[in-house]
Amino acid sequence: MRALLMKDFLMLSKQIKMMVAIFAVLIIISFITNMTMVLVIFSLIFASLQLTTAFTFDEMSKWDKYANTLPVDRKTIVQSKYVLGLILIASGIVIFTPVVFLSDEMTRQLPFIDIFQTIVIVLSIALFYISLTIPLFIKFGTQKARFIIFAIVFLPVFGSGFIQYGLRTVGLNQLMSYIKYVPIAAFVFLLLSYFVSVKWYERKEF
Amino acid sequence: MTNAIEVQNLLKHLHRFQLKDVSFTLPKGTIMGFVGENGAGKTTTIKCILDLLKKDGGKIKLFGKELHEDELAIKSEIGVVFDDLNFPESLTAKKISKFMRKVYSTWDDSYYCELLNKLKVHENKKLNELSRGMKMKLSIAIALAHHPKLLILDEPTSGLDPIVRDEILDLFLDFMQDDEHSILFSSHITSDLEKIADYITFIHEGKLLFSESKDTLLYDYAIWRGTKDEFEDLPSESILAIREQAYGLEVLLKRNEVSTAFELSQPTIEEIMLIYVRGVKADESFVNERFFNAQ
Repeated sequence: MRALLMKDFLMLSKQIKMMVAIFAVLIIISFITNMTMVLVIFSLIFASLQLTTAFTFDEMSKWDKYANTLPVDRKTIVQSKYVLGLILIASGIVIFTPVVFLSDEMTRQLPFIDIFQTIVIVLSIALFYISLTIPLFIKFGTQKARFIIFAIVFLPVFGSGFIQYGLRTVGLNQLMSYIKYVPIAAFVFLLLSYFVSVKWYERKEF
Repeated sequence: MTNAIEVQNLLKHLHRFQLKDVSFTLPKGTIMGFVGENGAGKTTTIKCILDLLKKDGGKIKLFGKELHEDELAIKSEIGVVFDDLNFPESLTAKKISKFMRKVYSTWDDSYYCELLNKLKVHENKKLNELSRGMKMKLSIAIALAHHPKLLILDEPTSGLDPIVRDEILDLFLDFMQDDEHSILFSSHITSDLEKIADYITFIHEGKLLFSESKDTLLYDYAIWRGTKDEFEDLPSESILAIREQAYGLEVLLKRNEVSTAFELSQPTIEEIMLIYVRGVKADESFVNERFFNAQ
């Protein structure tokens, strides 16, 4: 497992370095414009982007064919991709949360609880995203999966209609009280996704 | 003595292709050349052995055990080389060793460096900057660096110049100094196999034509060339395969079943392959037909 993660990070090292440079600039801009919250969202987009890149690089070199001749379980190969996704997401959160709080301390725009809630929601969305993409990448490859993901990610746009409906009938406060269930749902979805991925990967032929 | 590889009645259906009843054995301490034209089923067989493809029937044993019995232990004793280096192109030879030493407990960094030096592969060049020959040499160095007992090579020398191919064959002969070691080597460059193989296994359209020791093939088999009239004098039971040529017939036969009066030549593996693939295999129906025609 450590070996596979190390391979992914060595493989992505150039991309990650480039992103760090971009983030340095973004942090400065976000401080000036008082929009540090955007950073958290940005870091999560970055995380999902890197995960997709990792899958694309593997696919281009047919790495999985070789990886399956090594003394490594198929399950471990799948696990390593989930751990990679989680590490990327976690590092985004760990790096940018202090920045957000620091900037908020200075400007006192939002109460702590609101920031915390937003970060949890964004984090949950990131978990939903990797839970959706990893099994699709495994089953369909990055080319086909990309279209499927594109379609699924756009479903919430129609979903926003339901939210408006919910706002009208249930009321904002009631709806906000459901928000605490979002991270739990994300976690359940992640577990489910992992089992599906393992199943699909174990059946896969190379 | 246990065998390095035993394949029994292997069956695999793929889209528009199938492997039928493939069986062969690679004894420990020997090299088997696995030949056949492109699309004959060499890679499919190798992928089944490594469980990259799920077999539809038959039995495959590595070191006397089926893979699922002790998968990780068996795989740690194998080094695999495919016809391309399947590592992401942004890596370098040095970076590869950083994580491969965590994959294999037996990974030998100093031996890996020694191999890279010997083969003149740059440690710090990205893989996409290496030539095909360099990539294959690196691939072989990676396969050898954990001191495996069995090498499985799928077309490791195809597309390489004769000098690089010779270097690579020397490496394989070095590897075979230990009599616990074995190699399964698929290739359609038959001259490479003639140099190093002990056994030749020949697959054609998903079926095994023969799996014989190289010496048997080169010394017990013979080629006879002549006209159709002269051909009638050859004993039926000696004939293995016939190919029509511009001048008449080219016949592959068993040397010791033919009188010394016939002028015979020693075949190369390439000639054997060509007669089988481009010609007609002499089976029972052929012999009967010939017998009745003669009557």
